[in-house]
Amino acid sequence: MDPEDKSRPEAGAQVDDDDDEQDDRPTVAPSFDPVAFAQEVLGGKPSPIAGMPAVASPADEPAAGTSSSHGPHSHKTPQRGLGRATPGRTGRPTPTGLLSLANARIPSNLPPRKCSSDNVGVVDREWEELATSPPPPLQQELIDQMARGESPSSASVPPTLQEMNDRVALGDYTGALEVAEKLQAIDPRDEVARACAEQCRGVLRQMYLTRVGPLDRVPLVMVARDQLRWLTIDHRTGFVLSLVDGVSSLEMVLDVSGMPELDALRILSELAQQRIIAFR
Amino acid sequence: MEKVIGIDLGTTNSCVAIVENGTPVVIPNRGGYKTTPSMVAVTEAGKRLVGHIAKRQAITNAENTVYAAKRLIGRKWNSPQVKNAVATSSYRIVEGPHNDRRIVLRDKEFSVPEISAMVLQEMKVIAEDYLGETVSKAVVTVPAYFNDNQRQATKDAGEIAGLDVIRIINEPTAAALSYGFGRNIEKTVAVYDFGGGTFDISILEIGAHGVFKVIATAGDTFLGGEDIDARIIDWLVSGFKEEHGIDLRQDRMALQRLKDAAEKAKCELSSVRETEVNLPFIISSGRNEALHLQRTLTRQTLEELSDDLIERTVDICKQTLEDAKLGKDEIEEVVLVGGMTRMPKIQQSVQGFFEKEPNKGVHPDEVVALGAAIQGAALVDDKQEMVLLDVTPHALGIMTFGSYFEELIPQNTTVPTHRTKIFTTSRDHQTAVKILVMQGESQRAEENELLGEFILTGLRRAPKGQVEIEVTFEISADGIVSVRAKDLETGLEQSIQVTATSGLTKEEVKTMMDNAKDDLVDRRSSEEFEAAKQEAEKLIGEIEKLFPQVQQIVASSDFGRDAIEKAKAIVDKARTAIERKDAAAVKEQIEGLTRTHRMFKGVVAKT
Repeated sequence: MDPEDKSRPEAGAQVDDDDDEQDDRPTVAPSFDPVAFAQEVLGGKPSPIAGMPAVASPADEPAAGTSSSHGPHSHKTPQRGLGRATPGRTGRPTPTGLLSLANARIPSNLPPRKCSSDNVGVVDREWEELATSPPPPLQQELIDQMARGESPSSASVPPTLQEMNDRVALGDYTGALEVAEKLQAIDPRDEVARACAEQCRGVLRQMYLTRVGPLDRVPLVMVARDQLRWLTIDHRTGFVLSLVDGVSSLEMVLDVSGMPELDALRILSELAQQRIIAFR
Repeated sequence: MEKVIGIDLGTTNSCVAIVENGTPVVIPNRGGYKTTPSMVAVTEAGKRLVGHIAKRQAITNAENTVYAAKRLIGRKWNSPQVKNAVATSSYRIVEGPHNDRRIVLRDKEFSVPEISAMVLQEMKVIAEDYLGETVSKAVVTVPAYFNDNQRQATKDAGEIAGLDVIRIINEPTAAALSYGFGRNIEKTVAVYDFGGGTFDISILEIGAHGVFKVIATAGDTFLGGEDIDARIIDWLVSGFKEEHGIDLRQDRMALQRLKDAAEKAKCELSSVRETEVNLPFIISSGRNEALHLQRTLTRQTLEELSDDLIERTVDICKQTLEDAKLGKDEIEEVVLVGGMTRMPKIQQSVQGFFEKEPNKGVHPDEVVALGAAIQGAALVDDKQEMVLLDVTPHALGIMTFGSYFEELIPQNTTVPTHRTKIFTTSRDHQTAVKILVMQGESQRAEENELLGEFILTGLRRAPKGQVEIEVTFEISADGIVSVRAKDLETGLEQSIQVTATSGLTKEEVKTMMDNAKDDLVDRRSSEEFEAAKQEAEKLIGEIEKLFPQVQQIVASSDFGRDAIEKAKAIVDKARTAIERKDAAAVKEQIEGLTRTHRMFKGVVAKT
């Protein structure tokens, strides 16, 4: 007896023809031809596996006992349920004794491949290589950074003019300005980046000014002193907030903020949006 | 009668006062403060900041904020004080023409009198805003130890600011004048002046007929309230570092907040026993988590932190009395000057040393400016009895053989005055002598200030000591020093008129004055525009609120439609003038806006 022959029930296994046992089946048989589907995905004809019954027609009685034979995920299945074929909705022949496709070893991160029966072995090897070989160096660095809890270094990805323009097109002036400044840091003579940075600054400045209003307005802190520390702000925002004394105008706060005007305006507009400050 | 303001141009803070209806009063600035920081800054946007606003960004914009310019004014480039400042200041000091120094702010060079002029101009504007009229005359105070060059530089600063400085008086003298105002007293007074940046102790004799003599003066130009602030900052920083492992000094924003908080806490502890320093979000940790600083500072801790600094002032007082050969019992009154003298520990230390309670009847921040205002009023009012007689602040003399200093006019001699002494040759067959005119108190000539020099030639060839040369020093009422040397045998003479120099030529002062005037005009027109803009915008807002109602009411008539169009045109014109920042045009439109608003209100009220 072939040890691979799983067609016979194991000693001690119960064979039960009771219809109620259908409810015990782990899955409902799919309405399509799983074998054909498997072939399409895995490529090539399935290897003939001892004991694997042929695809039965709906009228056929299923052979008792089947098992998947494709690899480590194989496991024994109850003899009874799987053996019985249930006619699919489309009337297509459904496999009998075939384990669910969940047991098939289908890598999920592979690009779609062309079906080619001639390349089974090669494809198999490719999958194995992709799944088990270490990632290329750049990816490894990113993986290591993420493992350390760091965000991937932006320096590892050089900025481009295209990226800058894309962001402008999307209306992301903050992002575009960031890219433009990085480009200028790489090449201070980059006129395109400089012009874009100027444009972005102008737009952002207008935007923030629209939010905070005329600069002769006086900002007031709307949060009680003892509640300030519960705010979710960083120390730069905390510094700008400390300059708000209910007497100094917005213009004065900008003058003494000690940071570029755009940064201070952004912080003030964020504080206003969060209703941490108001104006009179 | 023309108004004369009195200005205390301090190292860290300045104050302006005036005599109104016979009473000297200090003029508060727009923020309501009676003192204004002596700080000037230029922002990244090229805006000039003076006073409180400059102080608020002094650390975050340290390279372009000037403080303590008084320590540099009138000094030569190669003087030890300037060298010290070059090494320790956060702003750049470079050498200028005529052995002068320049301060660089945002790549533009300014002379020290120009910087001081910006502060004086600020005080002038404060006075003009209060009085509602132009002010052109002032009395400005300087430390008693200032030499003629430093005094001239201060006068130049006044001139650049558009002020005619009719008198420069000593700070302790101004304080004593304020103290003795209205009282006919003759006393020996100690003036203990502990300010923001410097400490001075002066012993004055207040005599009859308005004679105030500075018998002795000493101090430390690098000891002041800011040093005590620095101790508090150190204490806060070290505590925070112990707790969080972060040095707050590395972050300018944190340091700026610490400085402001330290000064505030120090001031509060003069009246309470403990105060809380609460600075939320002072810094971010390495994990981007915002950290807070909260610590209680007690008066006892503050006293422990500043004990040695206070002791140093007492040591200086002790030395000064010894130099003046005066005992503590000869000091009849102790006057406290400077904000730091509000600190209880300082008052106790002064009382402990002089063995008498200091006079706290005069306001320590304001007393010098008040004294200057009193002197200013006295100078323009013939009816005033109290006239302060001017005295030479330092001894005058010449350098003699062996590099010794021979004094001709002692310190504190009232002016005008003249003194004569006979000198002789130091070498055989000497036919010429060089007369080096010096000012100071040291017996070594090189330790005194050289004011000028000239050569007397044509002397008879004779053994040394046989030729007589008469040297005469004369100081006019205006403080001009003339020195004459005469060969008594031949009658030949040479002379020199010594004028103090600030390091600036007359042309340079004129140019700076014109620039300062332009800046003031710009500032005034900007303020005018802001006021007009606010009024116009308020009227526009109210008109626009009424527009829909008025349109509904009057739209049916031709007259109504025409009125609406005219109103819209007025509003548009006003908006255009605001956009162009044209103050005159905005003001023109305000009348039209007012009429329109009145009309709209009338129409709405009638329905």
